[in-house]
Amino acid sequence: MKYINFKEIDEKVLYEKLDNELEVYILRKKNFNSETARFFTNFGGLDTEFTPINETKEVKMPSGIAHFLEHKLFEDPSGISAEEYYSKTGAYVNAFTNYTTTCYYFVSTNNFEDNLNYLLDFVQTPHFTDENVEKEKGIILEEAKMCLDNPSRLFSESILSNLFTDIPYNNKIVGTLDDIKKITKEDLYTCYNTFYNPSNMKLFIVTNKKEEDVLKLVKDNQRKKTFIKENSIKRKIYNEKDNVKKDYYEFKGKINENRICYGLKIRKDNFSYSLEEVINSISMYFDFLIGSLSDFNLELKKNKIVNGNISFNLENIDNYIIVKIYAFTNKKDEFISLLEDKFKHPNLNEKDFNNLKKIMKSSIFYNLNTVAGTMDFLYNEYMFFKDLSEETLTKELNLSYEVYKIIINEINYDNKSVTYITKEDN
Amino acid sequence: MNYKKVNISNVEVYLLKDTKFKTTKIKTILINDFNKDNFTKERLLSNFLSRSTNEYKDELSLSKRFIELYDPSIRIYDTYFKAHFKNFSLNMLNEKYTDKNITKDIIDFYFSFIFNPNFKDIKSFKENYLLSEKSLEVSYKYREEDNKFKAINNAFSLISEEAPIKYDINGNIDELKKIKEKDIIDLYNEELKNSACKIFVVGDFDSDEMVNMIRDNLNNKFINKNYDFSDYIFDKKTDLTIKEDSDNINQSILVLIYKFLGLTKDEILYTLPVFNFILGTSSSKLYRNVREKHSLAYSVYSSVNPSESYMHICAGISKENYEKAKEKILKEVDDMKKGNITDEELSSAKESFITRVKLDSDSQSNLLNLFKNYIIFDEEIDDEKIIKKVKKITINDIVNLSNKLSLDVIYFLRGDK
Repeated sequence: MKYINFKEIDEKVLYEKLDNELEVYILRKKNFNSETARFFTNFGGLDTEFTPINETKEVKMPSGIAHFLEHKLFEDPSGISAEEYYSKTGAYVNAFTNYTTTCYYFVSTNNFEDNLNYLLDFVQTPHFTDENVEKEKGIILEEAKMCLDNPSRLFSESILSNLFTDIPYNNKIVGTLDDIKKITKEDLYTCYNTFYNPSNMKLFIVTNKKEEDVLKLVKDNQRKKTFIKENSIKRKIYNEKDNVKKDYYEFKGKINENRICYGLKIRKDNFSYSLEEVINSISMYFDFLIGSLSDFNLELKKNKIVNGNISFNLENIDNYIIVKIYAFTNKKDEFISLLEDKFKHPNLNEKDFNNLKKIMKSSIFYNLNTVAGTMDFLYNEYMFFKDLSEETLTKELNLSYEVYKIIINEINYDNKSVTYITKEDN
Repeated sequence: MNYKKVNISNVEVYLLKDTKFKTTKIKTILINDFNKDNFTKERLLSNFLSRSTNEYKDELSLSKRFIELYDPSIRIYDTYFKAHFKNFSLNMLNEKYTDKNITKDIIDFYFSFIFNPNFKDIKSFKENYLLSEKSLEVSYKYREEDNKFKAINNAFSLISEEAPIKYDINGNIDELKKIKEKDIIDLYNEELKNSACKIFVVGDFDSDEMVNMIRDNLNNKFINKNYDFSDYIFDKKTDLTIKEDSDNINQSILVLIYKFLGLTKDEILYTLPVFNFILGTSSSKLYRNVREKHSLAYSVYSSVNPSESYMHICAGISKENYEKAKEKILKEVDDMKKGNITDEELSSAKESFITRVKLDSDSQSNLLNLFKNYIIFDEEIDDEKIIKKVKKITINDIVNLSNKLSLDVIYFLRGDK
């Protein structure tokens, strides 16, 4: 057990790796009524090819299996759903699945101990039958149809799919209609037994209780359960190349305004600095380049190259930092040409750098103002850096202008993929 | 809830100090008459006012000022409840996390969005006007891509009463095209002259200093005017409207709209949320029976807007399940009317509402909304009193409320893909 002291932001987190290898992080927010916990596994939409626990042969599962499993864990053997359990005390429970993770969480204002125990219990008590799996298919097929009608979702799915050559970002998180229909209870147990081992899971808690008391509760809960010791999960190894699958992809969708995403795939180990410094520098640089502080953003709008704001986001995937720049535009070629011209002339200065650092620090304090925001901060920080430590945050907040300049000048813009979605013909 | 009320230059200022917050949030609300012809104009004016001030004439100079002040957030937006509310909200870091003595600068900057709009400099006015117009046009086009939004909006346009929700309160692209530059200046001047104003402050601040800073900015700009919101009640049943549209989409969307007849203030504030937790949130009757038992939908819910006396139920379904889904939904509403509600359902719903009240006190935004809603209804804001009232709600209260429901619209957006 140890405390991670985030001195710069006036918060501390209790950390322990339990005997069953579950890692637990607890942050205390005194004087707040609400409490929340997230229990998540490193198992998401990408994980369809792997060697099941205690087996030797690799299997291929239907797409959407992680998401299907998320739905099914809400039902326990007595027939009571997690929603019903939590609603008795007015608590809220939900879950989400993304490409790499499935996360279960609740928010409550009373009965925290029972709610936390139940979270650990319902996620760690699978109950799949032929009947309840078939019943769930009707619900998930409706969800999949809803996703097919969402052009923004189709757009964002195609961006990652075009950037990666081998990692299967063409998998739909919710699954294809055909694959959903194929899923069986045996598939679900195979995935559950492999990926829901405590050694592959994390528990994040924001509570108004004493951290040590909450940790004891988690330990007592886990001590009552036995798990097979799992050394490491054998996922299919992908031979991802530095180049992109498609450097340009255009398709038509049921939209009213054409939009573009300019995606960059930047190799992390080409930089001579830490991951925190690299990610923060790149994030601050793109904020400087196209955020509200940039005259470039304003000029593009005034000259009607883009309609509305430009935005960007960053992801840390495999060996790469992915930068995605979004805009509504009917003038894609002009937009691309002006953007690439900007990349060639970074025009950095220390005053802007210091301003961007100021915004970054302010945004952390705004987040820490609520229990939900605090959980988001911890979770996102962990997901981005795969770690939660004093050093990580210190490196982020104490980035120097000299290091920033070097990192920005080392960015390789060669591997790009542009996705453009245009209006369907009437 | 231990708040302080102060009157400054015809403006009621409500101050709630809570040291657990790292920021202080202020909301200034200008209240004036609701005019259904002004929805788009109001939205355009709010967008324009957010973009510049008389001192900081473009986005770039404005952004630089924001950063000097540790990036406070300022939002300007419109809401409706019998009257029109123009909301100006500010969220700023406490001085513990910024430079000392910066709060006064932030508050002066915030009030400049209300009192010093960028109308005088013709060139920058025109540039900002065009940017606002374009950004609104894009947002209108973007939201039309959302089938659920489209279906619900289409359904509400068919309701029988002249409530604001009948109209698209966020405005629309056709109206946007008709607006002239001068219209938003006229609208602003008219509203500033005729609005009542209320200000709410929640966070960790010194009350006397805060009052002084607000007083310095208000300077007798508002008239003394009171609105009575208590009689916003429908009393007559109307014929049911049924409509079906089709589109080239995979999933069909069914929307049912109900009108409440003769709601009392206590029903609006306390019984209605409990009713909705039983009928249409997670683990509700609709969720358990339409989604879980019959697998007809992934998303099915009911939503009540207390300020409108209307409820809508929305379900994403396959087109061949239209009759079955409609029948199951109607049965759940019928069960509410007949009192087929278990003690457990009532108790869970009450607990959910109490949790929401407690959650509200952890969020400055929710506290500000709570303030606003209770002041509209002239009701004392006190967590303990709210919880006591909720605990007293019986199944009979829910049945009485359910029997005030009158089905007004059934709308179906059929997916033909």
